[in-house]
Amino acid sequence: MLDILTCKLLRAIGAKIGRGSSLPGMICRKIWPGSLKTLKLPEKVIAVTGSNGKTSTVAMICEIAEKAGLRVVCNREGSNQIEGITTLLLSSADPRTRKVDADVVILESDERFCQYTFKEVVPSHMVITNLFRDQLTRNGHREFVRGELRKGIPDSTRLILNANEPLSCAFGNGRKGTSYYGVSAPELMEEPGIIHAYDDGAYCPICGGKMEYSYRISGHVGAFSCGKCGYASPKADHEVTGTEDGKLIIDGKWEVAPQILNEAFAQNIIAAYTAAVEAIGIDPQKAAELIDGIELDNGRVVEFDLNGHPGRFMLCKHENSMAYNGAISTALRDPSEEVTVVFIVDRLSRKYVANDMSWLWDVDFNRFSDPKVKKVILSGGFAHDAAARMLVGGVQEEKLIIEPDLDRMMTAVAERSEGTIYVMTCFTDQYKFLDRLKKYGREAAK
Amino acid sequence: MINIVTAYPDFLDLYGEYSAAKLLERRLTDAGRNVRVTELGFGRYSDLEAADMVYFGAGTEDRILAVLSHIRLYSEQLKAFVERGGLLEASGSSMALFCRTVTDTRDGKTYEGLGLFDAEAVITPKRRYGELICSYSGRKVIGAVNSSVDFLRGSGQEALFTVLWDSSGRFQKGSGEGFRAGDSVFASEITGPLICRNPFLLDEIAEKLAGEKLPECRELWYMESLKAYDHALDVLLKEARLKEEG
Repeated sequence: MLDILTCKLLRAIGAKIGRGSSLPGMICRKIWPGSLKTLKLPEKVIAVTGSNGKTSTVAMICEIAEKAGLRVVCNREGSNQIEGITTLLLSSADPRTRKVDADVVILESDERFCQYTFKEVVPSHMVITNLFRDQLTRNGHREFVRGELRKGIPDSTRLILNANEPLSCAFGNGRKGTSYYGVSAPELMEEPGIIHAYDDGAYCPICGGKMEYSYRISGHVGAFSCGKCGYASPKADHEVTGTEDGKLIIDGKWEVAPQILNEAFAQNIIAAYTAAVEAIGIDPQKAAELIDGIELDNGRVVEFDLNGHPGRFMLCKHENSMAYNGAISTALRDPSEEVTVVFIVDRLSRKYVANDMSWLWDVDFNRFSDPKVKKVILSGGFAHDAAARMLVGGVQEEKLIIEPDLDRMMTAVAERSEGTIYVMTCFTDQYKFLDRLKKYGREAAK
Repeated sequence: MINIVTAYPDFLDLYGEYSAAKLLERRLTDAGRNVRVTELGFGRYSDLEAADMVYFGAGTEDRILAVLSHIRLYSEQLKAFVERGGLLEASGSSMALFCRTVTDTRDGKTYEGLGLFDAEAVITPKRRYGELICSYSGRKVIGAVNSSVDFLRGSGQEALFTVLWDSSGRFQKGSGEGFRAGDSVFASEITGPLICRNPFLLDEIAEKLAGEKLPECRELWYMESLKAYDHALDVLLKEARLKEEG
């Protein structure tokens, strides 16, 4: 009882000083190391993990569940390591009964921390969105993360997997009760001829044989098959089968309006829909109605106008080429004829010594050589690294404006942009643009 | 014609390693040389007799073991290539391929390496990441080691770089990093990619391939690489000072 009361108290205090998510759990774990295991959880505990899309997927599952009238406990603000999850669950429990007061618990988990968290909290279902190259300074490489994640999947947990991502999808091999989701909408397939910096789908993750794709959604995500061992994209239980008038068609019958019509968002929507149907048990038609038009207020996309140029700020992740590649595809599909891209890379991590720029070579920056891209404005301390990478990748010199200084970058964006502006950066650098955008707007209004 | 062979480029493809050959090609082409880049790999044969340089990039531990098994097909050719002074460079974990042995502690198995270096490679389950400043020919080399392979250097094995600072503490100040054999075989655990991040190393290798000093490169990509190097070195020196001050 004391652990729960302490956690609730610490969370309330912590919330006032901005340390309410992980610190209370960390303290309680030191004093009562076994308390998480003794909580009484609802039957449905859905974990969501993977390199990309977990926060958005969790937010969507929560929204569907809440709109369906269920009581939800969820770490939607992040804090996806064991300390944050301890805070969440202890502070949501009744001190006398130790029962977590919810119909469904939805937990976002860091891939490498599943092995610790899910020893103490066994999820009924686990959604694994994908395994991409992500934070390689911390994670090493995808195969290493797969090994770490494997240690965190309890035997009794039912998996919900992306049928189009070969590495994470392999967790379902020989595992009963696994559900799969996918995207087969022709409109969301990658246009032929894109040359990627690397191909994580070139070789089979099971046997090392050469893989083939009948179509690709983005990078190595698509309908894959290995000519050597036969490992192939399984048949999806639920999929985005098409698009019509800006809407996604789910399972050939349900129309759902997405916040953004792109391949990444489509994968998140179908992951959330599948979890709602297969894990929570919501009727498919109802789930589609509840997910229709969902708008996530997570700052991932900010629309703006600057000197008459429409603009879109797209939050990506440094050290994550797939996130940037998605943003690049979105910019190149913009209906306007001219596009200016702003790329800011100033700091990789708030926590670690991380100045490795090798990931820049993994991003498909060569696509900025497209005639539609009129200007590429590079800023931040590592702007020169980005410039060298883009120039070697074939981006035309005359397009580049290299301005490491952030204030001068803002002036360049305001005065030299052509067409629609797409700003791409990471959460570590986002306010370096957004704050200047606000300030610029205020000064322009004076 | 300068012939560069990239070994298993779509397999040993971590940390932007493919770009090393691209930059060499660009640097040499800008200096007026003709360059051909070919690939050696699974199902892709490359004539090492005509090669001037063979480049191996970083890969995952399992992929290094797969390459080790396959590259034996080329071991005689590779030895002949090295004996005639061909330039061989290995970066990141691929350094293990050229050690005497490679031991995988995950299953306890030991494999015979290509034996160009008097060293043993040991694959461990633990990953380490560190950012390094090293010295080489009076210049500072920067980059990162992102690896789970330990290298045990034999007494007769010469190191490539001298470590000045390592953010992870794995390398002691003054210790050796990487291996070299003569003037043509080089290996370093440091990725970055190494020659992209350190333009003077790019120049040195390009000049070895060209067989003479090249004119100074004034192309924008190269000038930007120099600025990027200056910035990164400045950042790392600040990190080093902060750490040393506690």
